[in-house]
Amino acid sequence: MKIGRTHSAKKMLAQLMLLAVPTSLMVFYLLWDLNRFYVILENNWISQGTYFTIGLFLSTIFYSYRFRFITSATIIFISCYALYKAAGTFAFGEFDAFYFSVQLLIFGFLFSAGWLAGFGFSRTRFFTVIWSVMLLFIQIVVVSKTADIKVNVIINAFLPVLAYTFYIIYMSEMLRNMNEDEPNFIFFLSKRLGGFTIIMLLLLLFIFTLFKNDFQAVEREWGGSSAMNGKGNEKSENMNKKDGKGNVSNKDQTKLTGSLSKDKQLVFVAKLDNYFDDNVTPNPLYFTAFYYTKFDTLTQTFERDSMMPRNDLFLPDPSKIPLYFTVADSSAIKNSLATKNRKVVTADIYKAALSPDAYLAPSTGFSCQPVTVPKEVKDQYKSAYRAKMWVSDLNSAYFIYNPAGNQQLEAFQQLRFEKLREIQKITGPDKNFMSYYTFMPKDEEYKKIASLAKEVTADASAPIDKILAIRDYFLSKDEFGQPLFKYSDNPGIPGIPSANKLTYFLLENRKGYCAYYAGATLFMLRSLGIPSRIAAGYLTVDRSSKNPGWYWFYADQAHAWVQVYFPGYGWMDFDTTVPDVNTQQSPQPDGTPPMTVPQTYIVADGNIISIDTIKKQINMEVKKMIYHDKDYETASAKDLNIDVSLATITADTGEVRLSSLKKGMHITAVSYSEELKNILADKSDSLASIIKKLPIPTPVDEVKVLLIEGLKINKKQEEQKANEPIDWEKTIIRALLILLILLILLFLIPSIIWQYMNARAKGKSDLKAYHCYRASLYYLNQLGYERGDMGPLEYANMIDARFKSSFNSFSNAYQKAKYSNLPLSDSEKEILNESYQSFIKKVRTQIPLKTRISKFLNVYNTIHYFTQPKIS
Amino acid sequence: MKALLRNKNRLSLKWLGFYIPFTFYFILFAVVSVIGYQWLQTKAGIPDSAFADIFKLLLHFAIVFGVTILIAGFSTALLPFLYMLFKKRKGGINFRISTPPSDIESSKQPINIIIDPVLKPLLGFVKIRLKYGPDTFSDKFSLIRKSQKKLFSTELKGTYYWELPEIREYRIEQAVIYFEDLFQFFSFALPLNTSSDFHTYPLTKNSQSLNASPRKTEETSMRIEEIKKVEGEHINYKNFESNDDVRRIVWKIYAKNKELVVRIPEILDPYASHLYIYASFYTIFNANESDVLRIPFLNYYKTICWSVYKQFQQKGFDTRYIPDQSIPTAQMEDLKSQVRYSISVSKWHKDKRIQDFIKTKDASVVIISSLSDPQQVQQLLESNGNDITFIFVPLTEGLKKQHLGDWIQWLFVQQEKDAMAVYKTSWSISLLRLKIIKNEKRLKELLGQYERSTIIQR
Repeated sequence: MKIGRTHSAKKMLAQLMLLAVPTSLMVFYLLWDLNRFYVILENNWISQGTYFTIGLFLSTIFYSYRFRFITSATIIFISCYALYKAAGTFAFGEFDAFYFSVQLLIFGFLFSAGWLAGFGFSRTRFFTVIWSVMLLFIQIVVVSKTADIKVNVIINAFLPVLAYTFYIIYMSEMLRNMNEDEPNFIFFLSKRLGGFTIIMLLLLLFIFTLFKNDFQAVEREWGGSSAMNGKGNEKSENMNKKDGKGNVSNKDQTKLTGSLSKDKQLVFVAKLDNYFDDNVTPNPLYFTAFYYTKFDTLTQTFERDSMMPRNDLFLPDPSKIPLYFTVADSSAIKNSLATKNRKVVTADIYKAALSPDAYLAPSTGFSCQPVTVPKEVKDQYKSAYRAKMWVSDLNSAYFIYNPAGNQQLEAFQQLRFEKLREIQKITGPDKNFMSYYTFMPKDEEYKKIASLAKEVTADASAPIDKILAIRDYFLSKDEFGQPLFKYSDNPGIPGIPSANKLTYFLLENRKGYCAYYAGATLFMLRSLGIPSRIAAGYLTVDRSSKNPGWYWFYADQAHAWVQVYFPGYGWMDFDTTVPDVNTQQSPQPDGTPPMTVPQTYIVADGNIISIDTIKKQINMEVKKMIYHDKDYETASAKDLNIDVSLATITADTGEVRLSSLKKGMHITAVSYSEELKNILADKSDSLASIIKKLPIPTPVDEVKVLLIEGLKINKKQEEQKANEPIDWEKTIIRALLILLILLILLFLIPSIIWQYMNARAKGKSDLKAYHCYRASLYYLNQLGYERGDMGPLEYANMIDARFKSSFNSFSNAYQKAKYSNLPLSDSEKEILNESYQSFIKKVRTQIPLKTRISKFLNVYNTIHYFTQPKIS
Repeated sequence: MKALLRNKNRLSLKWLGFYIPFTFYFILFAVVSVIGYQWLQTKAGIPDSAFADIFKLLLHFAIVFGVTILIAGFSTALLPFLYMLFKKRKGGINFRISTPPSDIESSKQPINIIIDPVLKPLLGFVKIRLKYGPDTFSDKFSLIRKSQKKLFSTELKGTYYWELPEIREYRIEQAVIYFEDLFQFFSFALPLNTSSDFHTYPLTKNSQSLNASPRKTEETSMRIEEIKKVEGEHINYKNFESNDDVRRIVWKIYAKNKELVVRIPEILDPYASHLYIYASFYTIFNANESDVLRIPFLNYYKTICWSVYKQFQQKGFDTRYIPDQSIPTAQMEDLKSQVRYSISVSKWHKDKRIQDFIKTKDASVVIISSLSDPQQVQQLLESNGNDITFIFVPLTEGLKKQHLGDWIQWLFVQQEKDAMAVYKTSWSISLLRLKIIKNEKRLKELLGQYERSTIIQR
């Protein structure tokens, strides 16, 4: 059974290269974009794109033969489905099986899409139009969702798809209309492709310049990234800030704006050792970064104040602390002014995108100890630290939410309120404290807030009841049974720019995000004389029971809430933000927590003296050391030779190579080696004597580099360069210029060749006759007098008839010189040597300049001169 | 009258259809764009948010860009069209069609076209459609150009290999030239008058070897340089007997062996020089009513006739082909082309019966088809069955039967759109089918009795 071809091999190859390749590139790009928004895709855009590409290529090749679509596609579908079912019966482990089948589904979907696309491009016409237009419209939606609003980024994302849409329509039509018997097939294709590219670039440039102002206006208005940099602007805000390296952290200030942009990046993962009284059920806590205690009425921004009285904010820089060494500040505990119902709790924080210098812990943190990240997850988590906090029993993330029917939680909530109800009047440690934390601006607007607060808390006497009244007010329903206050990321701004956003929120709009609720609550409480402040950090969500005590924090969990001071108990968390109906079901799954680190036997901190990259050893001078969990220090540094052949070397940016380490760098070396387990230290041992006991070189499992400002590791620079988005305008202009230059060169080629040949003909050499003849022939050919398949004599006669020259004699002499054994006569020699220039001159004078120039622009003639004639 | 009017209307609609400036592809694109746009409007999102602003801007950008590029395409197709129209009004268009006879035996007729002057749309296409009947048009095609000489030429010169279904004479009356843009969205058509006649050739089909010998003597002006080798030269000799013709003595053998031998059999006429082939296009069925008879059967029959002629020619015989209908005279260079032309333009007829047409004394080969009258054939056979080689062409073999394997293949493989497929289906439901098959059987029986007759196998 012979299966004929719908398309010849040539055409199929052209289809593969010109249609399939750009399509798969476009799909790769689209998948990469989509992966940023939908976590279920798990950022596997490369493998997903590959599935699609395989389907596309195979189907293009397959359907270049005359197979019917329906039957072949049905068979493939059935076999994929059978595979899927079969995979379901092999139970690897329940988690793996599910994962595997989801991956298989994704694979199946993408492969089928590629298969369908291949068939569509290869055999149908209408598919191309539908596919490209659909892709364009989808991309418009996806690009608009971008969180990073800069002109370059948007154009980067959008322009390729727009160009692709029209390119695909053009190319598929061209391939359809192409005649394979056409000679110079490749030349024809490249001519058309080149012309189309030039036109597209020109048009894109032209229209982009028209729209440039509009794009810049959008960037100015909504520029989310500048908001990310802490500047903020009129229309939008982000609770996180991102620096150039992609590190996320909380901002020093939060502005009230019309729109909050959120994104779903994983920021950090924490293990919290806080339990309820049964010591089994984990009790999550909000993680605090800063406290906002000041409000700028002009810009309507909440700000930090490092001079706040009884500053209990402990803010170390974990990136500057050597590994496993602890920094603690007990003044934080003192300033928390809390004595009742408090305990010390530990938390391990693993930073995924969190800035290396950020320190987050449930309030009130007082200790920080950087720890190593387990090897398996080193690419996910850049660094980690262990924090210790002075935490209140009465604080809980659950308490801050609505417990919503959970009996145990409701009971605890009641207990909490009962305890706090005992305080009938709040008094601070001193007058300064109270006046600072109950400060309110004197504005008219704030008087309105005060009167609302009085109204809402009219029936409450104890401070806790007043707080509860405010909370209940936000949760109340209006006369139609609808919630009075709603959560919105885009509350919009009051019509008058200078209007007070908080009063607009409280009295008119009644829609806002956490900063609005926190701010309103803050002022309402302060107006009632209750000392309060805003805490900024991350809200904790306990999603899965599989990993008790582990919590995942995504960028959209950046949050602000209110803390109220209760004498004896300290600052208590209260969150009055109403639940957001849209994010009730949190889509982000929790991953697998990092495993715990094995027992460390030695941690040595010091500077590098020398590095041996061949033996993979480092010689370092040690001043501080932890051996078997005991601290040792010495005044004079001691040398230690460590073996790093099996060690992972990291910095805060991630893993680095041994070759990038330099002398003088400050490193911390950690070892879990069993060898050191049995080498015990006595009471009398000092750092020096322990080092003597150690094997040389000491095996080491981890080396952490502390970066000093002066020494930069090149990788970071490269990353930074890569992050700069492409400037499209410049790129397009550059491309056009290059094309223009190439085009000019192309047209100048005949003249260049002529100059070369002429020069050789005029010059002196043994082969002068040959060069003269060749140059003459070339010149005549370029001017349109091609020789074709005429013989030399015939051709020469034709030339002479046209130009009235004596090319004949030259040609004869040349032929004689070339082929015959007879010697040349003197006259013949003279002809060969002299007649060339006069001949050329004669020809030149007989052809007008304009004709000559136009003929010398004709590249086809040049090509014909150099190519063999086809025997047809 | 009504039918004529109806045909005329259909024709003018079809004709009009050629002149619509945009293609179906463009309509598809427009429809999909509009639907997509409607869908996008539902996704517009909350007004006065970052999403909505960017969304509107991008949509706007895309629309402006799309419209611009479409206008660019439209104008690149419109300008050459207007230029050509202008030139046509002035009468300055040079449009020539030539149909050289192809030496290569293929079913495609090469058509050389030169149009001058013509501007080609930038990155677009120039296509041509030919009208070769009152309401029959060829497909749109673009010309294959030989390698280009000039950079900017206003001349369009190239060849098109046209696959024509029938073996007959064609006349091109008009051509329509299309200017299409780079996306194939717009096409502008312009009719041009021309005329060209050509005829397609019958193909050659290699079939089994045929036997026949010349019976007709003609005067040749050629000197016979060599002794013609006649079949059976060394086997069929007999010694000279008194009443044999003296002229038939083989003198060569006498020179060698001093024997007098005579060539036999007497049936072979040693002076017969030419082999006459008579092909009968007589049909007892009504050929004009059935497409199947008119086209595939006729093509197949013509192919076989031509193959038979060629085979005998290649064997060295001087062959003559005698048509049984009047062939319009055409200037042909050589005899072969003349015969080819005769065969090409022959049609089924009911005019001349076989007996009236064939000169039984001269005929060497008679070709008959399944449509011939068995009675006539029988008459002929009875008198001349041993002298004349009858070649029977079973026409139903022209259409292959559908096997079971074919059906399975059809499920998986989409075969090329074959004109034959249409004929196969109409043949299988045709009323004439059984009658023709019966006729064939009868003819096969008749011919089976005679040794000299041959049945052409597929």
